[in-house]
Amino acid sequence: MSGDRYYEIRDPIYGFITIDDWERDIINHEWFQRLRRIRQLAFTDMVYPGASHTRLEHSLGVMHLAGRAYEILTRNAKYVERLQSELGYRDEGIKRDRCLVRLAALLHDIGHGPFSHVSESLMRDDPEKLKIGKRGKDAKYTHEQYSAAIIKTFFKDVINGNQTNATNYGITADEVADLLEGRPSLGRKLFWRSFLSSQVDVDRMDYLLRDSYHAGVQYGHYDLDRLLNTMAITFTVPDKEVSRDNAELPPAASGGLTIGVEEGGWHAAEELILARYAMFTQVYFHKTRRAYDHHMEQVLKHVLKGHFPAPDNEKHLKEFLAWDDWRVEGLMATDKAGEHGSRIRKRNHYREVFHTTEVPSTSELDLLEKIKGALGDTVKLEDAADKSWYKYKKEEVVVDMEDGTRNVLSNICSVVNALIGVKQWRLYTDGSCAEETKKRVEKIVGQEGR
Amino acid sequence: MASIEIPWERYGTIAYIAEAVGSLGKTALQKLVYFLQEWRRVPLGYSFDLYTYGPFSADLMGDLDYTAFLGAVNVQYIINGGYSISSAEKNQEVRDRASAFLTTYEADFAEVVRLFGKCAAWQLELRATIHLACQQMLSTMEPLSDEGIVDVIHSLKPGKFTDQQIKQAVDELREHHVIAN
Repeated sequence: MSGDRYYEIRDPIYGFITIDDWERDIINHEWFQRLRRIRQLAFTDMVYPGASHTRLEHSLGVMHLAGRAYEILTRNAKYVERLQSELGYRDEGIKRDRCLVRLAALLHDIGHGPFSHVSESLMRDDPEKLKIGKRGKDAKYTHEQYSAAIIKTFFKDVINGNQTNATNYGITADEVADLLEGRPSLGRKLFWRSFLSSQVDVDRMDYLLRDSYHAGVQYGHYDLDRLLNTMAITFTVPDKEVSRDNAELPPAASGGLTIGVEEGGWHAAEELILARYAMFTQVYFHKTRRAYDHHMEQVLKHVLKGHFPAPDNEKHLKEFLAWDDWRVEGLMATDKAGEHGSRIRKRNHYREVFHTTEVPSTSELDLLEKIKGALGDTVKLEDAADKSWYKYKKEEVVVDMEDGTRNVLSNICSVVNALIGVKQWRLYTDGSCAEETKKRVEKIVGQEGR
Repeated sequence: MASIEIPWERYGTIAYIAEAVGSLGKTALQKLVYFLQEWRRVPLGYSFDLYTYGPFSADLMGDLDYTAFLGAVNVQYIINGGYSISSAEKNQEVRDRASAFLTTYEADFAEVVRLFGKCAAWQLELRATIHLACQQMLSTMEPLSDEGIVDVIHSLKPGKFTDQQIKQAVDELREHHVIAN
């Protein structure tokens, strides 16, 4: 924070979130306020009625945690020394980049479309990605690209033009956008990307606690204060070096700087990982919630009659930003959202008729294929954990050991070591034939001797 | 509705690399798959983000664990030595399931293993970062000069690599048309 006046916002997770004049101006921007109209978890409230919170409060929470974590890390002489020796930071650079990191955290979700991640499949192909040979899902624009374009186009005045910033820091909207996109031109500042997107990042720290609170579940909890206070600026654990003939080792073959935890905090990191696993299996990948993601995707296809405009110019960005949950729900309420809009209104979702275990074996995958083949067009939706935007996979958290070495959490924590990323598959049919289809599935499963 | 799209091509790729390269670490696997996808255009569908330690895909790490669960590779942690990935009992079985894909892109796999299979992790990290920087700069400005590449790498990783190491890597990548001349 950098301004002279401070304001406090009530928050259900942290009590109060403190912002300064500059941040308040950004928060009051009409396109930031749009985040009030984008629900964090789409139609999760069909299963957990309390889960109707928005991207706006999450964005404030991520900024708050980014600021707290940054302050804790840069108060520690050991980590400041690492920033100085590895990345050439000086005190003024550390002070400046705190503002940059808070702004990037605040604006990291500004490019979300209606119903958050559901919109991503309706984004257009990026010609730059097509040019380098990408196809299908790989070629689509991402919400991060929309975020970057929106920040560069509409937040220039409120960022570059802020007097305190211009006098003290010279942070630009382009810089904030580049940090979110991970552009190499950012240089050492790219390190702070680990803050926003890594195994121990402030984005997931906030959404686990916030989503858990609003959903009303007891999963998703971990010791936030302990985790923040034991976060570490450490080094990645490098591969064992087997250099080829005559290749000299680089001057610092110790891996790159990353965010990890101190040895004393590994249990807090373990809790974070278990919280993520539980939230994934019980909330984010809940079978009914996932069915509504599908119905919503079909609604968006219907009302858009194609795709969202590309983030390639101001006019298109304004057209994109005009889409929010309210607009889509208005169309659903007036029966202009097709069959799937009607399904959502009447809570008439597709029903799961088969699922594999969370980590299916090869023979289970063969069975899945067999069932799918036998059911044919009765299957209306096939879903996989890998298709979810909130994937659960094993995390590689670096632990900064007290003896000066580094280890990885899965090597010192048997619980984390035993966890394997969820790869579950599910098949769904229309509700009207779900019971009959389940009986057919049971018969096939029985024939296979399972 | 089409048949289930189980991503055998991803698991088969991991199995193939473990078999072809022998024992390798997670950094090496990340960068070899990076070159397969981003240089040779083998459609694996991973998203690589740039960190100070080079391009990294979290999904690829998830797939590595699953490929180990399927019995195609072993992943062992060596104290102070990082991870060691090697071929395991069901390697051939998983590659068989991806055989159409592996056959289609056989030449690309062979080329990546030939050029980079013997590189140390730091060499791969440097080369993959150079490639990604060149790719990203291409979409926003003129192609990077050698001096421009040296500056970008120094600013991302101050003091980690010498000018000579960066220039040697650039020369190699240009010679093999991994980055444009």
